[in-house]
Amino acid sequence: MMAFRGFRGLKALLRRHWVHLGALAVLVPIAFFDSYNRIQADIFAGGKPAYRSIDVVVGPWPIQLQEVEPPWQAGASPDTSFRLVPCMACADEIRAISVGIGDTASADAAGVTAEGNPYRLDVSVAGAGTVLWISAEGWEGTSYRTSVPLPVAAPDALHAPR
Amino acid sequence: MPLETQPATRPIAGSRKKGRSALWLAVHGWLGLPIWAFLSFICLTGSIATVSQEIMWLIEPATRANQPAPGAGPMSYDAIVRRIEEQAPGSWIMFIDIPVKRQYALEVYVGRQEGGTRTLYVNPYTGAIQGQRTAFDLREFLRELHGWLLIPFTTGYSPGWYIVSAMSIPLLGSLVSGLFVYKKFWRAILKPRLRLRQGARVFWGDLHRLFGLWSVPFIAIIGVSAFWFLLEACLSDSGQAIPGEEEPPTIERQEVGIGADRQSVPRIPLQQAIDIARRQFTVFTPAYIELPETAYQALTVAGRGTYPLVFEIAYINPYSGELIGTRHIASRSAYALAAESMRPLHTGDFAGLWLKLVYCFFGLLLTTMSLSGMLIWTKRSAQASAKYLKARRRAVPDQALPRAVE
Repeated sequence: MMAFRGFRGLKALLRRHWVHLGALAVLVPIAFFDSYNRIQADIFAGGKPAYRSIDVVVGPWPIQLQEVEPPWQAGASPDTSFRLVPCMACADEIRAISVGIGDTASADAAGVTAEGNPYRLDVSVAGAGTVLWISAEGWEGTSYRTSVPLPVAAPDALHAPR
Repeated sequence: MPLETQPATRPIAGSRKKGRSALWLAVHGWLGLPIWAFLSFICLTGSIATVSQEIMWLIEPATRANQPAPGAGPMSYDAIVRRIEEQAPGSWIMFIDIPVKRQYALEVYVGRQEGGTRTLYVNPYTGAIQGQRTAFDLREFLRELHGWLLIPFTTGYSPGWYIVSAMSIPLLGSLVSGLFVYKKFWRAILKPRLRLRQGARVFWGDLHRLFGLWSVPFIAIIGVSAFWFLLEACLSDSGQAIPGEEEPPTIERQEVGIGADRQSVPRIPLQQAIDIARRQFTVFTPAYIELPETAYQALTVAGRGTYPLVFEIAYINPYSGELIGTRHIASRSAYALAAESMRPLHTGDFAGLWLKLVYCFFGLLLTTMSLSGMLIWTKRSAQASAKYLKARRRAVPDQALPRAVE
């Protein structure tokens, strides 16, 4: 009996004050405040920590090849993303790093130039193949190339839905 | 709505005009009432966000550009870059943002050796790094709260972006219907009326009309620009290109500089790049310098010309100083010009402090209009129901309770 009256009271309250329900929208940014701070902290720290990292040597320069997040996350682009971290002394000597996915036969094909901070470059590559090749140029005009089997460079890329 | 709370205006038989007016009033009410609180929240956060840079200037001394001595001139950008490299060795300078007003420090985006970027506040007179933006930045927070309710961007535009920009539709609808309700509103421009002693309902009604009258152009600008933001999100998420998102052109391999390392490769001074840009446009005040992200990318120098909302842009080979390309205002299509004008029109940040204060003032007016509209409705309803109950009691004085429903 009491519950029934309470329900009618609630209905009457809603009927009278329904126009104010929009104020509940203020709860949305409150709910997302935490994730907002986490995202800002990630950006401030230079992105998420590396998911996987392997060392490759391109010419005279040691470079860390990092995967930042597994590619099978829902909504992720079908491209495979890498972060390239040259050694501290090498970063200023390297003019550009390009990356591509292909077969050993397509060794001369052009790739995607990594962009951004010379100490931490970012690149996204698309394509299917067995090999990830990395090419680096020095500011004095020299050019070097190396290739890494794709299962070693980005094993998750093989499992990503395409 | 229960019968008691319906407004007491009914069309008089034979008066079509009054009937139409009541229809517009109903449209105006139904567009505004369900969303009044949310709309007020958006307008309030927007009003504060528009002066967020000024708030930062007040609370964060690092964002100010204090002259070391009266009459001291600003340093050249090359000298500033050298000073930054001395104070923060190993930083990779990406972007120099030159504020519209001289009271603000330069904002220089740098990449750090250990990863991540920092926004440094640099004194334009001395080149001193006065501070840096923290992980939680009030200005960014206010803008993201207003723009998309802090809901993050993931695979496309944030759902918050869609929700907030969709409010432009009822906002514009309220503007149009409000003008149809307010008969001969142009007369009231010369005879504004705000009755303070005839009760709350009359006061809020006069306030709503007065503020509405003054804000018509502002509401139109905000509504249209916010509607564009909705279109922009739809276009971008469906894969269409948006005007203004062009990448700088690339440089041929044979034209890229050669040297022992990044620092020793010969490059033109930034001042020379600015002078090259200045020669391309009749009016040019530098607004930002974007340094190349790769060795093959052009240097971008952008500034405000005769039309201050949209930048005039010059792309320059940083090694040889050759002008590779330009984006003139005149060469943009009408669609691109309109699209690129929408954000500055919405935020009011293209002409300095005075315009921001105007935007803040009208934003607060808009916030109050949403509130006052709701108050008119509740007070009108309260009056109408009081009248109705009075009439019922006079008709049937002994019946205290309503009849039971059959």
